[in-house]
Parts: sequence; structure tokens; C-alpha cells
Amino acid sequence: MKASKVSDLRQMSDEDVMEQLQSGVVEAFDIIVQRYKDRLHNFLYRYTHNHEDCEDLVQETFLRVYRSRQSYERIAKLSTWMYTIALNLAKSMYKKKQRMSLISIHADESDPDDREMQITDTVILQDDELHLKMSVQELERALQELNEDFREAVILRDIQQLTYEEIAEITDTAMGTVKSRINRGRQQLQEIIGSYVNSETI
Amino acid sequence: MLTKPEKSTLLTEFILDYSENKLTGPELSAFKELMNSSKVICTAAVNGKNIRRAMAALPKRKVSKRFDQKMAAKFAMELERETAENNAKRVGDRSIFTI
Repeated sequence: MKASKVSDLRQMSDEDVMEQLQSGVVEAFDIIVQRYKDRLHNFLYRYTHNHEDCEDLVQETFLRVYRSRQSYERIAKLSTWMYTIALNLAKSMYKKKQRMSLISIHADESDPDDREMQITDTVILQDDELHLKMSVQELERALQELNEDFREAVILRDIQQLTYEEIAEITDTAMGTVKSRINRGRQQLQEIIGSYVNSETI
Repeated sequence: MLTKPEKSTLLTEFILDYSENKLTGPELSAFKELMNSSKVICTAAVNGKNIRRAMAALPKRKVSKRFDQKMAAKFAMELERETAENNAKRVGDRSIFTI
């Protein structure tokens, strides 16, 4: 493909780029990856809390987008379609993780290598910095405790900044339900974290 | 009596719009009056606004520098797999045709 064609692709809307991919222009795939890699990573990170797992999920999302490219129809926004794929992947990964966490592993005291790891933090954080770091952790931990339906609605709205219509489409629920979940999710988050985290702290 | 904001659609809409600073001037003053008259509604609205702000301020998590390289490798494998699959299909079609 000529450079001019790549720059043409860069000017196109997401949906036009997808149409190019559907007609066999493989370079369109890279354009989609570049546009969405950070957005999807930021979204999926709230489910994995681990950069490597998260990157694997982002890659898997893109590969599924490629594999099912012919099933995409222009009536939906490409972003909505991609978030739906990512959300389904995140949900199944989350369920797998929950199943795995039910298996408890007891330390073998006779084995000298089987002991708790001590993590030494060589960087001593200043009070403000420490508070900020803890607030972020606290909020992210609270998100994990939230009911699954509430969590996805709050993440899609407050972190991904999607519209209610888009969230309704991605989660396959009525708009009223989406709004109610966002509201109740925020209330529950505040209950979980108490007064420890507020917007000024972050 | 207004005590359960989550059960009223209209109230939910107001709380959401208040949390996201989307109320118009008259709407805002009417809602503030309502907040003054009900502690439950006031708490729900303030909580919503706080969490909304805190969530929006969470640090953005970006992919690592190695992401593009890893993605390119996986995509190359995907293309290879697809080509092999198509070739196998073609060979299958041809052998049926020969028979």
C-alpha cells in the first residue's frame, strides 16, 4: 500500500476505515489499533488491574474485531461494537479469575522457598503523593467490589466518557436501566470508600 | 415523601445531571431547593458529583511501548493462519472438482 493511501485512511471516520478493512485493506487494521489501543487499555485495566493481562485482552479484542470484521454493520458505531467485544472478553476473564480465586493455596512451611514475599519499596513517598497513590488504589479497589452491572455502567460513563445511548447499546439494556445503574453504582462506590476518597484527593 | 432517589426516574435524571453539571440555571435552583428539603436527595446528589469527579480524575492507563510490536506479531500470525485456512479450502474445493 502506498503512503498516500495510509494517509487517506488516517483522515477517514472509524466506520469508513472499517469498511476498508472489510474490503481487504489490511492497513486499515493498524489505523483502528492506533485509534483504540489506549482507550481499550484504559477500559480493560479496570477489570484486570494488571498491565500485561490487560494488554493481552486488548490484543485479543483487536484480533476478534479482525476475525469478525464481516459481521460489523454500519448501523452501529465502530467504537460501540468494539467496546461490546471488549466487555464480553473482560466479563469472561473476570469470571475465570473469580473461579480461580476460590482455590486457596496454603503455604508449605517445610519448603523454604514457599514463604510470603517481602516487597521492599525503596522510594519513600511524600505525604501528598502517598495519599494520592492510596486514594487511587482505594477507588480502584472499591470499583472491584461493585456489583458487575453497576461497575460496567460507571466505568463506561465516568472513565470512558460514553453517552447513555452508547452504554445502553454496549450493555444491551434500556437507557433508563443504564441511568439507574450509574446512579446506584456511584452511590455504592461512595459508601464503600466512605469519606476517604474525594475528588480533591485525586 | 422523597426518600428513595433510586426509585424515581425523574429524580435519578436530576441527580445524574447535577453530578455532571448539566442542569440549566432554573433547573439547578429548583433542584437545590429540593436538596435543601431532603437530606437523602442532598447526600445522593453530592455523592454522585464526588464520585463522578474522582473517577474522571483517575490516571489514564496506556499501553506499553512494546504493545505495537506484540500486536504486529500477533496480527501477522493471524494473517498467516487465515491464508493457510483459505489455501486449505481452495485445495479442498479443487480436489472435489477433480473427482
